[in-house]
Amino acid sequence: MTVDWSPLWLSLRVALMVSLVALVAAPWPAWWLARRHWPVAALLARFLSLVPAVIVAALAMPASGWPVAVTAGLLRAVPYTLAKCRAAFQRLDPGLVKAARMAGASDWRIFRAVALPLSGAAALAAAADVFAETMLEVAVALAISGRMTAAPGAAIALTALAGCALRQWLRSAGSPFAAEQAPR
Amino acid sequence: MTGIRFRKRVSAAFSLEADFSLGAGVTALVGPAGAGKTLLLELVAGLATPDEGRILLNDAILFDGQARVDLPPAERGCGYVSQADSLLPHRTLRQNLEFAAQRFARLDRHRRVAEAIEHFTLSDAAGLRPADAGASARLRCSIARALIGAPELLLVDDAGLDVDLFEAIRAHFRGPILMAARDLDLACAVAAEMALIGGGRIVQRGAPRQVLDQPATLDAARLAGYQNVWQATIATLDRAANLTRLEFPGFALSVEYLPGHLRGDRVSVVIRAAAVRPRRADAPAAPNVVPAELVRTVERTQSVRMEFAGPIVAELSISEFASLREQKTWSLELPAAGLRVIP
Repeated sequence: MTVDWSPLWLSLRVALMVSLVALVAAPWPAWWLARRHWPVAALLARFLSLVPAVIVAALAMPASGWPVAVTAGLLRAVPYTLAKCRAAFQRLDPGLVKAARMAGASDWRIFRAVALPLSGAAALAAAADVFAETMLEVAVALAISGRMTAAPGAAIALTALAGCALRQWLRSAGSPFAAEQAPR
Repeated sequence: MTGIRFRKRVSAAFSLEADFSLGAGVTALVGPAGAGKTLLLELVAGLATPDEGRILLNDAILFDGQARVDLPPAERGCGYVSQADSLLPHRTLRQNLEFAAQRFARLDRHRRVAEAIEHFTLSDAAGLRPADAGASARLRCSIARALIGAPELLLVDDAGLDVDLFEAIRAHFRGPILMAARDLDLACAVAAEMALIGGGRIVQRGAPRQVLDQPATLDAARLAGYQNVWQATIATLDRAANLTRLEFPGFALSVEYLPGHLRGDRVSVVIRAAAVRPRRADAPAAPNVVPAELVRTVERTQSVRMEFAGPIVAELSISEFASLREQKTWSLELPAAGLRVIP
């Protein structure tokens, strides 16, 4: 009997797309928000991060097709990544930003030359988080609809675990980003 | 002219107000941490925005609250050396200088960076990241970075400079320098003008010697490092004998005649710890000697600080202290030349 690996391919495709889109879309707005002290922005970010898991899971039912699943995943992933990036950018040494402003660097240039190199690891870590979480979410939706078997289920769990490990490594002292994060 | 006049409210408890003009030399802002020195420099640099006021640099308006002029930092012609060296940690010192010179065309940028590296002897450290370079190289790089755009005004925030580095800056930069300092000695050594700042207000301004020797108010005296501050009543005013007698709880002192005062006036009297002279028991009689009870002594690197009941603080050299330390009872000479009377 041949094993049906399609649940693994589906979760991989959805999880990769969601984490990549979140990784590309979130950092710049996060930087923009981190530079401004708007209570409303923080409130909105918090509210968006509260999208109920049930809605996401329901949308992610494979019957609706993978583009819907990706949309559902993004509904949670983008606010999450944005919040993580915003927090990381707010921890950035304000002296570095001031020095860049003295040099005449634009907001975009400060983002590219200062914020991303120094806090980009936080964005990558958030994306790895999102990847692992989306993998499992899609897997659960498939299991509920009865299309999941043991082999792809185990493969999905292992892939999600690898995502978690990647995140741990990104935040650890051994990663190539550790030097930038270390406070002097 | 170059002048600064602004007001900035930070919180209900703290606001900064300043109104002064800058001379061509070094102006030192001296005050304790939290006095508003850094904020003042940032307001001038354009890194913070005043609530109202006007900032002029060589007659160019950098900020005008009423006319809504607020030039961005890079267009103000100010170089800024921050308190903690804020070099980009992921770039080498040379790349940091290149980043600071980004608004210049490529050839011009390379020339400026090469000159800065040569002038501030950074050639050995230029390829290192800040974490691998020494503290001194980082500081020199911060200064080189501030000067790379040939500013008209240099702002220096208590970055741990010494007199040698100041001379290196002076050889490269002739314009006015506004410097925040906690160290009175450095300010005294390099500044043409000193402004004492405390609690967001500039309390006294003038030549360093004059500010240090003639504090006009009690706040100024404290900021200028007078450790002894007492309240007194004027008991006698004798113009003919050029004498004023000041009464303190428990003792009295004589100083020169004080014009503009009345008998019975309450005044403050201040004296530096180094001007207070503990005496030997067998020393000849002298005016302004008071008995005092020693509470404790604190050893310092070059001196000994003696704290007497009162409280009166005296500071004397280690050898002076060695010659006196056997004493059982103490008396202190408070020379009239060291006493300052503040209305």
